[in-house]
Amino acid sequence: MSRIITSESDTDNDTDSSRSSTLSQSSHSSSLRDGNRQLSVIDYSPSITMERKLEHYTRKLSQVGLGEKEDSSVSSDSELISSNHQVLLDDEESLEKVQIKFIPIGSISSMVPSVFKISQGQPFSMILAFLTKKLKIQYVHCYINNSFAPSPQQKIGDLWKQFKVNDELIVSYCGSVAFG
Amino acid sequence: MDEIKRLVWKGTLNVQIEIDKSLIIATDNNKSLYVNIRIPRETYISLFTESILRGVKDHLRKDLSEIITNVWFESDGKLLLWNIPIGALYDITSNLRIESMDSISDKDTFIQIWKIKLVYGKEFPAMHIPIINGDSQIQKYWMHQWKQSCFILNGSSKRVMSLHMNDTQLFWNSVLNRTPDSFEQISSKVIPKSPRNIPVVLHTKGQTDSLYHPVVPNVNNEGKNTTLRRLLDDFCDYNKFENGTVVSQGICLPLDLDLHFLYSVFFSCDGFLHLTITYSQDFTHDKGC
Repeated sequence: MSRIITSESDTDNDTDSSRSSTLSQSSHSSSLRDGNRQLSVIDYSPSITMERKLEHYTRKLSQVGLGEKEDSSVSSDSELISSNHQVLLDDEESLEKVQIKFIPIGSISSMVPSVFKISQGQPFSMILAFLTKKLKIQYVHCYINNSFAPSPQQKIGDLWKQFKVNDELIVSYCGSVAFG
Repeated sequence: MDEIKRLVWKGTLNVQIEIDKSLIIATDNNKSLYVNIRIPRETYISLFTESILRGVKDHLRKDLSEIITNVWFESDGKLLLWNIPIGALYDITSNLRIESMDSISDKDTFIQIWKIKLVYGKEFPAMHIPIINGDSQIQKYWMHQWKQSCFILNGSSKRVMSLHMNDTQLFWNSVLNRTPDSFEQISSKVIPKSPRNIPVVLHTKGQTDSLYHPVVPNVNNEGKNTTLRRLLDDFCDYNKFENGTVVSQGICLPLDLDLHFLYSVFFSCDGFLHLTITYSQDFTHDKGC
């Protein structure tokens, strides 16, 4: 008689792990839709205590009302701030901003100014959403260092640390496929 | 080393996929519908979506073409990101690990099964990348992953970008058709003998949406090769990690291993080394290691 072991084991998950899972899900900020992509900024820190999470969550919720005002100041401050995408990353480093330099490929409009700042903890999809909104186009193709398109889920901070040139992450963008 | 690579390449998972009830024609007994398949660890789960649905097409409410772009996979209610190799997904989500086949009394008939669900919906879950153009979209994504890993390894993506068209297609076909010789032949053109940095993705056990891409130099400032322990020292909460484990390709890894060696034998089909960290608090579920 054969024995079958399955991975679906509710009993294996203790209350701690299920609780942390719930917290992680509840800390998802509002989803971000970019054409066919839908992503959200998530809490990547596994070590956060519940108290810190609740405290941070409350603080971020209180910022929602200010979102629209922040968004209107985006272009003037050259800072990429999303009103709809709260950053719920508890790690302070992930709230630090890094510089992104946008370079157009082909006939697509240039971004003025070309250098923006964005929080390290934001996913790359945030840049795609920002560009489509700014350039008023439906789709945009982005490449790092004129080479590759990263996963939209990858954190901008990770990309910046790995591929920065003179402390700037070079993001080339195009309305159609440039580097297949 | 070649033997380890061969075993890694041949690694498979027994997967039982429950089909979303909203996709199935209702019957009197209202039983769930399952598809059992064996999937290679080194591939993307979405490459199997069509064949899974074809297997149950007689029970589906709608035509396959209407469904296929609106489905995704979940494990215990958590989204499985299709763009991570399925073996890494299993390491992240599964709570079962067998220390040794010798510890199993009925090992001749023993089967380990991973139960997941194929879910249908009009609204996609957060973090899911919808697949609109089928396998060609997956191929393009995979190619860009290789360009990125090539950049990390060599300082530029030139080695991938200068691959002949035939080689590029052969490379992808080697993943689809499970031909290790072609995969080894083309990947060796991309991976240098002495890389600058090691392409690593760190996952946290139980968190399918947590990805971390650390910068891992092959040789550190002291002229020594980076070890797994050093990586954990630099990027993890080591106090919390105490008694924890690191898993790749389903194997618990000794922490004194050289990461370059680890990469050369355990790198995934996307050119990255996927490591899953189990912190000490989760360790009770992973006693097998």
